[in-house]
Amino acid sequence: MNLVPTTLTDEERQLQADVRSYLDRRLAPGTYPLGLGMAGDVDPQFSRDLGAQGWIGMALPAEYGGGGRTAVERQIVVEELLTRGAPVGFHWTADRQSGLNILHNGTEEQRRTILPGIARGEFSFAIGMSEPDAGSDLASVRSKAVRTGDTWRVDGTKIWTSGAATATHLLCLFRTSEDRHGGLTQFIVPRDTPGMTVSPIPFIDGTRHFCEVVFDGVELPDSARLGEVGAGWGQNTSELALERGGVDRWMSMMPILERWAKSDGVRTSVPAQIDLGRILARLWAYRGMSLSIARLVDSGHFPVAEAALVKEMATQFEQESLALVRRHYGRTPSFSSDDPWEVLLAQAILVGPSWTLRGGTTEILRSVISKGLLKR
Amino acid sequence: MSSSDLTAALADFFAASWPTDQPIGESGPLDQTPWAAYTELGLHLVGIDEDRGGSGGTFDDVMALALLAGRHAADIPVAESNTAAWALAETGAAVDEWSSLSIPVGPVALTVRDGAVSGTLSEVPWGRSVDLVVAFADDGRTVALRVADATIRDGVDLAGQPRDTLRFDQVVPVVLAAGVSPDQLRRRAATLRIALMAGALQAVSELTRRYVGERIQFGKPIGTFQAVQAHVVQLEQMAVMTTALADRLSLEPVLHDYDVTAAQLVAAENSLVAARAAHQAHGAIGMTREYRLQGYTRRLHTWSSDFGETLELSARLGATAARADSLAHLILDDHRPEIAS
Repeated sequence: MNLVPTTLTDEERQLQADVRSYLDRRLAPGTYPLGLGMAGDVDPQFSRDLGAQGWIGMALPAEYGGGGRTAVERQIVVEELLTRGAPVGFHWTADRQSGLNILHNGTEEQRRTILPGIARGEFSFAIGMSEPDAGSDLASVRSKAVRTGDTWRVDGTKIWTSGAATATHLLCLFRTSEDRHGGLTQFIVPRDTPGMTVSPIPFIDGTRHFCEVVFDGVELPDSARLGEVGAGWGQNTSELALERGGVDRWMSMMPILERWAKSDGVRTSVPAQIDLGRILARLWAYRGMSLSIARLVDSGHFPVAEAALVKEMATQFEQESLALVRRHYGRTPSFSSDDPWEVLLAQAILVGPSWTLRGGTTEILRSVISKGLLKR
Repeated sequence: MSSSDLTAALADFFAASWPTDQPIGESGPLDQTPWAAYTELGLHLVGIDEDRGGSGGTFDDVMALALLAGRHAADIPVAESNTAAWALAETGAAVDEWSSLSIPVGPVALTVRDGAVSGTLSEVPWGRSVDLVVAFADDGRTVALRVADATIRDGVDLAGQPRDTLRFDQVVPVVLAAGVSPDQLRRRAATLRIALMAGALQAVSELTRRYVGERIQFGKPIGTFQAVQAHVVQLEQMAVMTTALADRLSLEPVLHDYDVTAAQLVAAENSLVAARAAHQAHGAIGMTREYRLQGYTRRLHTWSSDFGETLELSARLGATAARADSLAHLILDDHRPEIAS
């Protein structure tokens, strides 16, 4: 594997400056709840405002309401958002992967009816992949879609679906035949479809974004099907590459690190500065790799193994840096603190293990990388 | 010639001179190595202007050479000799009359009195067998001294490569003149070390992948066990990441203090992580001198502390970050500050 180094062009630097100046105004410190990376707060108004700036669905073509821009340009926007712990929860999944999946695999009607809403920040997608008996082993999906004429009838349960309670759409993987990989098909399911029950599952930190979704005789028109019947596995795999490659996989800790770096605890402690220096060096290196991956995507490549390679180590490093910050903090941070930063640190300690689970566990990623190495 | 062309043209030379199907032995004096052939091709003076007696080419080309030397565990001072020749050329002196040079990796104490130089250069790679050694006098001027004028105490690094201490007593230097700063020299030498480490890490990753595919235990290749695969994955990560850093620095018109320091820290940590993983995957055979792995891991251990100790470098980088307006800007921006001294 080889990642070619790259730097930002003048135009890309200008975009970075524009995003910084907008977010400095729109997200003044203290005016929004700090979030950890992609698990930022759900704030539909913020998502609409960002959409109005043209910073959601950037990679979608202009004819579908997108910006016709590049993966690198999207990364620039995302970096600024995650640095601030911005409330990106409402639009995150749609912007990162659902929009591109629909662009590549959807019908013209699906593109025209859905993509502009994604780009405006009005549509929120949740991903219905996992099931009680199909986590890492996604091909064991059992929720069934059975076709009668032009209607599909869906029965089954999706679980650990982030954001399903607040989403406008779910993008689900259902079993349409008994063929293990070839019997899976993706569907776009509007959140208000009758027969669907969404129940939040309290997360380890007490938040309620995690959901169980039960489909009880849900009827979907064939126009809800995304891609060919039986093409779901391949589409899903491609989607996971989008889900894995980005900077969101090493930037969850940024709002915590940003303030920690400026704290008295670091200013007066050489041991803390030593740890900070180490953290900074590695983040700088990961960022270079993410940018190289984004350039690969823009040149028409699909760097599945490279994305997994970076995610596997960067998500582990997020947890390592969290442990270092915690050690220097000197006491267990509290949810009852008046300081929102301390609350965020407390939250990070509880949710940190999820960073090496979501979007593919460390173990699954290693297997993806191993297979990628064997092919070379 | 682009660096990839250069790499292709030189791959055969390195493969013939340092074959990868042989064990990696202890390094001897330079005249028992392929150094003469290396210099006949002018490779030791690549990246130095022709009007100073150099072979021409860019720093990118020197980095490509260092990467190849790392891949082959070449037992010659690729980085040291080139850095010394570059520092000499930067004083305005011609470099082509010297066929082998080195620089000290350890502490230096040189004083100048009435034009004569006295003092000690410690840990000079191949110090006993090069012609000329280049260092800094305590007034900051560049000094070039003939090794023939030194009293030498032999030493070796962890990889068994010569690393000698040279003492000079009232010696007339070959060159005593203003040139690059000690920090500029450190950046260049450290950056070449990163390329050497990247090359060695690539070799270690490939060697391990091959071994676990061939070694049968419990009736199947050990590479089919997930626990072993985890080591293989980690090695590839360390190799890809360090190579990306070397490539990134190769392209910098002027080596930036911040970038070199950050890259050194990452490369050093990656080297130690990889050495552990590779030995764990190899088991007992990797611990023997008749197998190649030790030749790489011993070099990685040596190189990871050269031209800057991890603890000091991370403290300096951390102090810089603590004073910065924004940590994120240190990661995302092109314009990064000089780091704290």
